[in-house]
Amino acid sequence: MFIDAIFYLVSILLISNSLLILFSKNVYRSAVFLAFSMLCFAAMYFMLSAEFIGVIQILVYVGAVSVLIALSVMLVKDIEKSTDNNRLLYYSSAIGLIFLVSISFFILNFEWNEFSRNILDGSNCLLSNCGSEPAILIESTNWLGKLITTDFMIAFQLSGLILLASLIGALALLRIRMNDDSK
Amino acid sequence: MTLSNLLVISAIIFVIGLLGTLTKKSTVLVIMSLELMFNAAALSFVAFSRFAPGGLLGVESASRVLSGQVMAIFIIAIGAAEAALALSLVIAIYREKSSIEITNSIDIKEV
Repeated sequence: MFIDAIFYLVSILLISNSLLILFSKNVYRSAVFLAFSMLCFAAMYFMLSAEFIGVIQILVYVGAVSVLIALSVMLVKDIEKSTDNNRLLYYSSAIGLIFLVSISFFILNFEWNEFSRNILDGSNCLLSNCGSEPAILIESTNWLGKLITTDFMIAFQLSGLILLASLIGALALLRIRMNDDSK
Repeated sequence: MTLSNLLVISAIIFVIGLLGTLTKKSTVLVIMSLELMFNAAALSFVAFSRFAPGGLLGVESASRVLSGQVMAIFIIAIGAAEAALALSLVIAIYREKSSIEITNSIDIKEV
């Protein structure tokens, strides 16, 4: 099917861009590959009928975080040695491989349909072989707004508080050093 | 496009981010890998929300299906806050050490 072909194309692009972040020789290119892989994440969200999350992903990650990272790349002095690995490369590759194999084994062998049938009895659409998407996703942005302002109100306020605290912390970190420099 | 495919892709991206976090010397690359791990988690949340049992339109169905997307929004907010704070920490480390490599001798108190 057409949507499946696009899905596999986007997932190949996503994985290859993420690998290129680690294996490119120049840290600035890594920042550009990070922006590309964030775009691929946004494409994934659009295909999963989560339009609002996709738009937010493009705005926040491709627009803001990539610019922040590109700015901090300018602090790198030795651009040739900037992508070096430390001495834990082989150990952490082994640990990552074991983690990946075990979690993929679990995901591919878990009975998602049985799980869905046991905890949510009698629903019209089972977890892993949904032919059509849930009807609520057609007007998902509307319902997301209602859900955030009712069920998730405290979490929403707290995430705003975390954003404020991190911005104040960032300013304070830089401000203290400025005062010391002026002495 | 099945749930298992999406979860495996999310696990692959998470492991790539984990490798970058554990093995890179440059602080900027470690932060990029952290962002990858955040987004892999958000992708699996959105995948579960897409393949959740649907039901009729209504508040119950909305809170069952769309909770994953709400979690993705919170993950994006926390990721942006973390990026801003971590990059200001990078600048602070650069002022102290004139280098942003992660070595054994970085003491956060000095920063």
